[in-house]
Amino acid sequence: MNTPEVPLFRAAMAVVRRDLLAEWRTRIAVNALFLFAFAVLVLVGYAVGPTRLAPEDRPTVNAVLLWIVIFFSAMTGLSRVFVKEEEAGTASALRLAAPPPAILLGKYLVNILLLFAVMAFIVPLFLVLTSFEIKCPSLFIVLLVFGGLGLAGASTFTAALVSKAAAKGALFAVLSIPLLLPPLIAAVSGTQVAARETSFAAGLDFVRVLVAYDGVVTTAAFALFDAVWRE
Amino acid sequence: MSGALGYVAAVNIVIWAGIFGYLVYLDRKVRAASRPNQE
Amino acid sequence: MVKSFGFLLKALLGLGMAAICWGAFLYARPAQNFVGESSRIVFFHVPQAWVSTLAFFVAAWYSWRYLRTRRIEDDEAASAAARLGFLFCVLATVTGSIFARVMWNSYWNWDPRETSIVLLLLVYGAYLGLRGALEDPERRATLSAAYALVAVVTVPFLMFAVPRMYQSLHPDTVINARGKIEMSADIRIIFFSSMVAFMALSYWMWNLDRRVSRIVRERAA
Repeated sequence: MNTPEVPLFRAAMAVVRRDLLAEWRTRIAVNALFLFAFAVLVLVGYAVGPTRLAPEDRPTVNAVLLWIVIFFSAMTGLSRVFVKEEEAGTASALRLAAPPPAILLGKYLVNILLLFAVMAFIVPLFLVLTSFEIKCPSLFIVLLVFGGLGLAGASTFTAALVSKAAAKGALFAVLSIPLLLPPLIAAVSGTQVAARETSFAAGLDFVRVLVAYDGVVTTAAFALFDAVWRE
Repeated sequence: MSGALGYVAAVNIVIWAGIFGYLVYLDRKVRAASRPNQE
Repeated sequence: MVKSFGFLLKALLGLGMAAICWGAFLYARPAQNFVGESSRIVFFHVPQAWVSTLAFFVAAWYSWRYLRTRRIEDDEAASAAARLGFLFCVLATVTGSIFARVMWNSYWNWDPRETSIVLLLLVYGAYLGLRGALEDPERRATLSAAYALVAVVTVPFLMFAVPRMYQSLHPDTVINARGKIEMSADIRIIFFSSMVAFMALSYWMWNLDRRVSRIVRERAA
């Protein structure tokens, strides 16, 4: 494969820049994603707004609802990185332009940026709309970061898998869910702890699981992407 | 109680005999199908 | 080459399984710590769960082989294992749920083991769904192999990390009781025979599936 001798990271950043520029020009997909996240949030906020839940139930219910909103947003938006290449017919050009690891890294970074942007928008709104009190903010933020990385990592890989399949939309969620349930369970449980306890250490187990998961899935994705990406 | 257990055991054995019979049937069919192709 | 089971072995399996059915209900005595006769389901439920998990690792192994060798036989072996694993996973989930109803009066408790088996079911469903959506044989083999391998690295999290997280929240209600702690001799013999029989049965079924795949492929060529 005759790819130019460009350092991996630089090639990846080129992919990122190209994707971000393309998204910024049209903004269609990004807008749809934010609107979707916001709509789900409004529904959830209305159903379990401040006065509707007993205070002792709030950590349990709100934690899981928050991650459901984040998860659905991920399922809506994160498959675009690869699916749009197939739909626009630019996939072959991309194959020639950069080595596979750079492509995966670039797409992964794009998805991370996208997901973190959505989370930065959604999470504060969620906390306000549901009066969700977090006793240990540092734990909460750590969970959001590593949970988001895990979501983005697995989703980017499955996006590559479905980009050439039929029924992409449904299949993306179907493939992602089994891979994402462990980190989601850890993130939800950890968030429940963060809502109740003030000590970071109380949720350390969940952080460990998330970090381990992120490392494992990212490594596996990079190892297998070569086979997936080749024609 | 043992009457009920005997009944359940018998049902199980019948189900198992059915499954076993079906697998033997499949096995024979597969073997027949693979033979002519190789000769 | 895919060898088929000897006739004698199959007959032995048939008789053995019938004997296990008899023994499970009429020879083994109900175990302590179980409600009524419900311990008997362990002779069927545990081997099914075990085979289902084993089949998953077999599928992952052959997926790995396929990516290295690119021989379609390896992909056929992997997908055969997945279909088998899926079937046994459904059986294990259903028998487990029936047991839960008898033992704890509710069909589902989200106990760690129950959660793990459902997640395994989802993985199987996803793998088979992916295969169904891909038509080109090589692409299907490659992508499903890649998915199987990513899924297999998340399995330790399903099986070990999640239950350990839960133990900090809930008491483990389930299956320590059925562990090897106190199996009386009559239960032990039926249990281990059943494990062997189910493994032999699934091996036979796996072989059949592989042979059928090969015939279909050769006919189509």
